[in-house]
Amino acid sequence: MATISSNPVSGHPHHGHDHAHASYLQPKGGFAATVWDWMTTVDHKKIGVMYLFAILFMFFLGGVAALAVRMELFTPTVVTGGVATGQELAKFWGVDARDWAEGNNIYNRTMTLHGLIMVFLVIVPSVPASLGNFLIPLMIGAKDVAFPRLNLASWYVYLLGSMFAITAVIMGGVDTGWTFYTPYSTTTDAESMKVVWMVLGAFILGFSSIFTGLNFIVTIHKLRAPGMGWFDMPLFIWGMYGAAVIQVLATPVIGITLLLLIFERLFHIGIFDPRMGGDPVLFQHFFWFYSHPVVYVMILPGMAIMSELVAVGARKKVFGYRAVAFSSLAIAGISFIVWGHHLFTSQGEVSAVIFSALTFLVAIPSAVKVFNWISTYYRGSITLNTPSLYALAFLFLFSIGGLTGLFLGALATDLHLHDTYFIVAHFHYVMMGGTIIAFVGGIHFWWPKMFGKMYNENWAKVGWLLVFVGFNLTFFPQFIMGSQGMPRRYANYVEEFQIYHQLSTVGSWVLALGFVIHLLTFIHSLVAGPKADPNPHGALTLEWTHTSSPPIEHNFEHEPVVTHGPYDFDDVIPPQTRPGEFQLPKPNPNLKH
Amino acid sequence: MATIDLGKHGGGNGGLPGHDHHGADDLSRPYHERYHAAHHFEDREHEFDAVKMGVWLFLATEILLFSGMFCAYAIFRLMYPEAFVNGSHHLDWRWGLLNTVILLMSSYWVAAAVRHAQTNNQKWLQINVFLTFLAGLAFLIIKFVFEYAKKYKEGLLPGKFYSFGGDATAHEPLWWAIYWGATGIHASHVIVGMGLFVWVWLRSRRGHFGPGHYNAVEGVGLYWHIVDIVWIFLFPMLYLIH
Amino acid sequence: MSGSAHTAGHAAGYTPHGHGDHGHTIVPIITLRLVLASLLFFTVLTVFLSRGEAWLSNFLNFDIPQWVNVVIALSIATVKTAIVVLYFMQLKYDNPLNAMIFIFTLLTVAFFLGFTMIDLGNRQTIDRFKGVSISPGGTGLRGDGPITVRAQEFARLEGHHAHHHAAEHVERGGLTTAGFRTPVPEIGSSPQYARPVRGLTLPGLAPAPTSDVSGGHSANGH
Repeated sequence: MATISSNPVSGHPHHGHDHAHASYLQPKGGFAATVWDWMTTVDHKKIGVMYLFAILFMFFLGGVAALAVRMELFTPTVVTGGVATGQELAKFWGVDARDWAEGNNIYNRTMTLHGLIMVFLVIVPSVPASLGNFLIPLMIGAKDVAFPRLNLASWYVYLLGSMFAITAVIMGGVDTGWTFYTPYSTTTDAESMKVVWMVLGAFILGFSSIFTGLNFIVTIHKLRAPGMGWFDMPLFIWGMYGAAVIQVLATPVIGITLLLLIFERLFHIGIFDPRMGGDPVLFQHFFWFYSHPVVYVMILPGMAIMSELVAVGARKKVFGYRAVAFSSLAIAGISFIVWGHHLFTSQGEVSAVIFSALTFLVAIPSAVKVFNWISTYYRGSITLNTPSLYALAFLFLFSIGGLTGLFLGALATDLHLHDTYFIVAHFHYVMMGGTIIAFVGGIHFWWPKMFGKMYNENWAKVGWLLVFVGFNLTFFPQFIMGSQGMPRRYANYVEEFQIYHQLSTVGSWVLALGFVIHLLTFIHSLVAGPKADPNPHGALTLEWTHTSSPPIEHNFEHEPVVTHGPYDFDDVIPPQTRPGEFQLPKPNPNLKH
Repeated sequence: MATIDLGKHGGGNGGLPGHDHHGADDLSRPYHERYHAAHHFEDREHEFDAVKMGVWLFLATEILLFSGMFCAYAIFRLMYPEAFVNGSHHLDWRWGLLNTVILLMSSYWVAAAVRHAQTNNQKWLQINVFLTFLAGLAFLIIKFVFEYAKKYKEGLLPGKFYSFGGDATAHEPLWWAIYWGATGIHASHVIVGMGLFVWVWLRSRRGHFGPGHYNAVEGVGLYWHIVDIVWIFLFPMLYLIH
Repeated sequence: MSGSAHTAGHAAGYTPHGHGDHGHTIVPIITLRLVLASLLFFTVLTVFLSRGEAWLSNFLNFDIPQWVNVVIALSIATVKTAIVVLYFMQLKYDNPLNAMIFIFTLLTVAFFLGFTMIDLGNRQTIDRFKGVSISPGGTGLRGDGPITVRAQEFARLEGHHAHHHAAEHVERGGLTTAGFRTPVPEIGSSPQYARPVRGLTLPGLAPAPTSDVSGGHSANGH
């Protein structure tokens, strides 16, 4: 595989007044016209940016709920003489200290709010809908996704679903947990419609997810630039492809599940109701048939980002490209046959044993990825900028999250650890330490491309440090108290666990401070950041080599022709070139392919 | 077996010579001949391929949606076979058979409609699309008037609303939950399909479809076939149990 | 339907690089009609076999296991589906990619149904040897015996407190199980459908009913 692209965009894109050649961010006329343009746009870049801001806003809301949960757990609740002390949340909302049950109620709703927002509104759409939307067409040299109007529809469906969810929150919130387990979810708040609204919101959000996934699959299959074979694609695309397959095949099942749950609440049809002969465990099967694969919808895009960050950060070809590519598909495939490990304590033992054995299969492709990334770093020319630091953080945190997953996949160990803080720590290490960390790293990495501005590297590194330290401080103590038996979802605990809970709560403050610094850095960048080069990182994928920063409305001045692999750094860039000194490659027809 | 290729600009209509770009914009020519693919596709063939793949992916989601109902059916039939047998005897297999025949006919009509679009047979294209719409209507009338209304009056309803006066087996309300759930979701798909056929019919009257461009006929047709296939399974599973 | 003499020929062959080098197939009208005819034939066949089976069992008082009914019905439905997919939906002539999507979808459905049924079909295997040793848990009921029995008692108590139709039916029809597999009654309970009914007997999926858990279950509750 050799080098060189045929017609790279020059470092100084000509800004004509023709919209097709202007930056996609350039306003169309006045304020109202610009707003209308963004609302009706079918441009994947604008939709991706709108998604990004919506998701970050939801992340903020979910984060506030998380801080509230941690706040409540700072001290245990002690009820003496009918009066509670240590109910921070209840105190905040002005609830009478004698009404301690209401304090617990508030905790349950806050915790559910955190879970629902973070899962359905943040992590599931996070990387695909924002970075994926923005980058997939750019990376494969297409003018847009295959179905631009469907893409816009997905955005509005996302808004609609969010509105239903927010309606439920305004009505007082739900206390079902994000998993909506029956029969609790079909009986709680019996007089209120809010659980129905919340479930309907999740149902609608599923459509948004399906539209996005469907669009990506067709885009990747049909719209690759001339010369780009399957193994010339950036690994980002492979990861997003795996995630999209899961989105399309798994999401409909949550659709029918939530629909049946709504029927169950409204009409008491009895499918999940043991009193009528129904089976609550059937709900768990239905639910996790979607929700386990969707865990990989969350992590695969994170892994997709990782491949880019590692390769560019190490300035080296990804070690074992095909292994990393196929492991994405393997994870997608295996994800469909392991859902039963969420039901180890509720299902029959025959299937539990089968599911436990199958669960360990997931470790193989995940480890293939991690080992290959580490091997990529080996003898690489590593740049320790913020995206790279996030990549390193991912490797560290995801390894902990993944390895503790093995504990939970083992049937006997899981019976002890089930529904304890151990599992809370495990999935936060994977979901947050994996996906969110990669997401934030990815935002830093592609920020110059998306907005044409550089951010302050030093402050970004300070933010990274606080996030990394805060994250570990928050969640590592949870492993310890979980293994000692602290159950999850409780508003109260015995005093032995207080030290761990307090460490965890302090960690959540450090974490929040880190994110606030990131936020301020980004705002500063938008307002006063220096203009970004087309390719500040010296990367070789099409979105860096063939478009300006930010890209023009139609992405490329000319249809790109791919003549080198996405990570052929040795062929394209002279060794020892620092990112700032990097010059875009010039066409060189003599190089062999 | 004949094939057609869609040219880059001109239609695949064999009677017409290839057209250059300007000719393709000639308003005197029918829509399906001067149709341009969206800007991010190379040509109509490219767009057709992508659209068809998108529709198939959408059908995959439909199949998985219904698989939830089939899964619930399988589980509960395994658990309570007697309730299913006895519940099924309340259904009249003759209505089910009639509806099956109607849907199979409509599937044929819409498959033929695609063919008429490919061969530029505008008259029969419109007739077939309209016939399919009517078949959907007939299906729903039979379903609602002769089946749902009767069951509703008898109190053969799912779960809480089950109030049948006669003899019943244990767990029979669960059978009715499956029956109403599965056929209800199917019927809602029939309604959506009928709406789509109205849209296709209106467009076909304006000459939007022909050999060069029939994405909508093809896509809606594929959707309709899946709705048909679901009923092919539902019919024996609901009506023909002993 | 008319239009059997189609006129579509080959337009000036433009083949975009990389995709779409296959043309569109026009299925002959006679194929479509034959497909319709075979679909109608199979529909009549499935009804005929089903009615015949019912007649046979009533007339000869001959008990046909349920899996026969299931296997016949689903086999014919599968054949019909294959015909529709191959010819009406043109998967036979289509881009193989679309066939792959379809096959992977079916595979996913198979996983979904298969694993869920492995669990729910084998639920009682644990109770037989472990249920007796499970100590009273969340139901708050004391007493010995398999968990199913205690759950059934719990459901019955719950039924007394509920005030909707279902609860009445719980009283009347004996819906007194708590979501666990209940033993399959050997004899049909409704007088007018008194033909013996047997459960599916796929190996391993439906364990034989145990006599000790039938106490809370009243199939002939009125």
